[in-house]
Amino acid sequence: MSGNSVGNPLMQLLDADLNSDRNRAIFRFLLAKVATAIRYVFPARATACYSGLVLGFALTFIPIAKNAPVRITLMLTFVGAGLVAVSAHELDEIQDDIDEVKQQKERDRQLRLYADTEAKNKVAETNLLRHGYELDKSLPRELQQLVAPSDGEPVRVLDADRAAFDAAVTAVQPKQQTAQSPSVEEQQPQLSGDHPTTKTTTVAAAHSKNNFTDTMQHIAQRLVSMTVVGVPGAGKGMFVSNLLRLVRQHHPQLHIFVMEGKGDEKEAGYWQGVANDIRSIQGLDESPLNIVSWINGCLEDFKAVEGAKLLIFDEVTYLYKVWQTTEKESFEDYIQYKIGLSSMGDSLQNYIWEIGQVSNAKDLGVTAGIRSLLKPIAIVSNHDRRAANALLGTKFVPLPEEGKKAVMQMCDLSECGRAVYDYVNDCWQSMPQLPNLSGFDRDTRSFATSEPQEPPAPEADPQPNIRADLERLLSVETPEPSRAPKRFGLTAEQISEVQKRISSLQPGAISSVKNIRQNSRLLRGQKIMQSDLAELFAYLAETQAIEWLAANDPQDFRYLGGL
Amino acid sequence: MSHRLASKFGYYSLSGFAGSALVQLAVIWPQTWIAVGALGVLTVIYFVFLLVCIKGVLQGKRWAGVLNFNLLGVDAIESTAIVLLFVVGGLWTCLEIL
Repeated sequence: MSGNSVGNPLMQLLDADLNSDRNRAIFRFLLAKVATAIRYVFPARATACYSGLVLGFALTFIPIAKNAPVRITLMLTFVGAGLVAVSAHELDEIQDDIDEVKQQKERDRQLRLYADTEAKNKVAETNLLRHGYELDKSLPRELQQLVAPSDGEPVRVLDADRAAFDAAVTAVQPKQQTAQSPSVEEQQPQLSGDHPTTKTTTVAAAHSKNNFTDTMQHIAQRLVSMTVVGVPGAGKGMFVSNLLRLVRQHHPQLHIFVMEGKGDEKEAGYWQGVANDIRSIQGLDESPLNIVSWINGCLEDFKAVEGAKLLIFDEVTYLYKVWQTTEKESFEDYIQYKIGLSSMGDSLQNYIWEIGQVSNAKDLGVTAGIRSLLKPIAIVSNHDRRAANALLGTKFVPLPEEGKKAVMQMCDLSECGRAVYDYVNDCWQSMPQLPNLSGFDRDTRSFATSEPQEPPAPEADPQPNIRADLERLLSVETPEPSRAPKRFGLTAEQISEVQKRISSLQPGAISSVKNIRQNSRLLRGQKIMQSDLAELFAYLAETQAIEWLAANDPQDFRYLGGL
Repeated sequence: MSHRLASKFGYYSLSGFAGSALVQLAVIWPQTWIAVGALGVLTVIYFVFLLVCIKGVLQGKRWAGVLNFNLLGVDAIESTAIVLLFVVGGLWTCLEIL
């Protein structure tokens, strides 16, 4: 034994120096290094297996090399063999697991590739069906919009609107020549002078309209629960009603349930023809108990609707306030239901759209966190800058870097004097002129007699149409229509206020110019000259809208209808 | 390079352990030398047939391709490695103990 080990350097080392402190230290150092290297290369489970493997070999061979008693050697050989067998088996298992993970990853990668390919094919198919060709996705978004066939329409429509407006003004002018004052003569160059500005505005508005139309399409296609807030008369109802038409196109099976607390018949057109269920209450005339009872009844009915459904909850600012004050428990239940809808509604295809005037969380009866569960849409107008500034001062929606002024500038650039924030683009933009589906224009306080998008044909109506004339004048695309001087020496707001006053009269009712002027805070506050007002009434009398009761003293008049 | 290589080395080394254990058992229980001798003869036969087979393959003999040294469910090379480890384990133990 010793003779064999003399020629073997390894055996020499083991025989001579194994028990020395120096070599034990060297062994410990080497084993630690090997273990570190193994641990670095392989995970902990593999390290244990390799350690078992090495230990098994050591148990088997070292007793033989050290010439230990045969019985002990044999026993240790069996133990070492068992250890090696177990370690080898475990290493086999580890490698099986690693191979399985690799195969799973490969399968997942193949599935993702397949899914991506399927999705791309679906998009290509959709584009093919919708546009007749597939848009080149490598093009920038702006160019894609330019080549998209649907995007060419709005610009043409705007140009057509402008041409129709000019034609309408021209058609009305000859009939008024006898009654026109010098101020009207002065107005003509101003109108022509507005052209370059208007052109620029039209181009900008067209771009804005394209963007916002795309945004509305996106919102309609991918429904979420959201809150629409805006200053009074900002166009929340108009926006939502237009959006609902798009929603109906994308989701024909969606059950649209409208709860509106204003009860204004003039705005019924917003919902008619698109909503499956319209519940209306005149909130101001009803008692709080009746209002809460009505709300609870509506909500019960809405909850009972099966399948995909959308709840439009209009005038929430007022209704929530009444509700909280009157019956807090059911209001809390509703808030819980709303939270559930916002978190789980998407999978159930249940949505809620709140429409209100304020975005303050406290006024909505919730915390800011819960308020943020619903996606925000905010609309402001330059007709009421004070209210717009108040809304922009809240944290409901972010302001652009330039601040509130930038938003108001967007309003001024908008053809309808409005700016809108939407959660899709997460930015403010000028709001384009949307079709008024209610039939009542709150800007001019007048009823629409024709389809909003169809420009009026002057030759089709031989009789002077005062309302249409005034409406056209008021809808001129100027940066600040409310401040620009208009016909009869009155501004657009003044004319609309007078028109509102007259239209509120019953045909045949007798009233007086003085009475109208005094009853209107707007007219009184803006110090309308009596002569300007008289000129307007002279025009109305000429067009047989009113009749003076005393020709020599034009104070009292009789409303003949026709506005 | 994977754990599979180390695993196979561990499995095949068991053959070497078996050879060593058989020799150690023969030292304790001399009748086992008969088994050692028999296994030695079988090993010699294995290597003879292996050499014949290799020679036949090299000479392009058809019958050589039919021979298949399939031991413990592994192919000829691995089978040879197992036998070699068995022999090395047994011989090394003999040299160390005797």
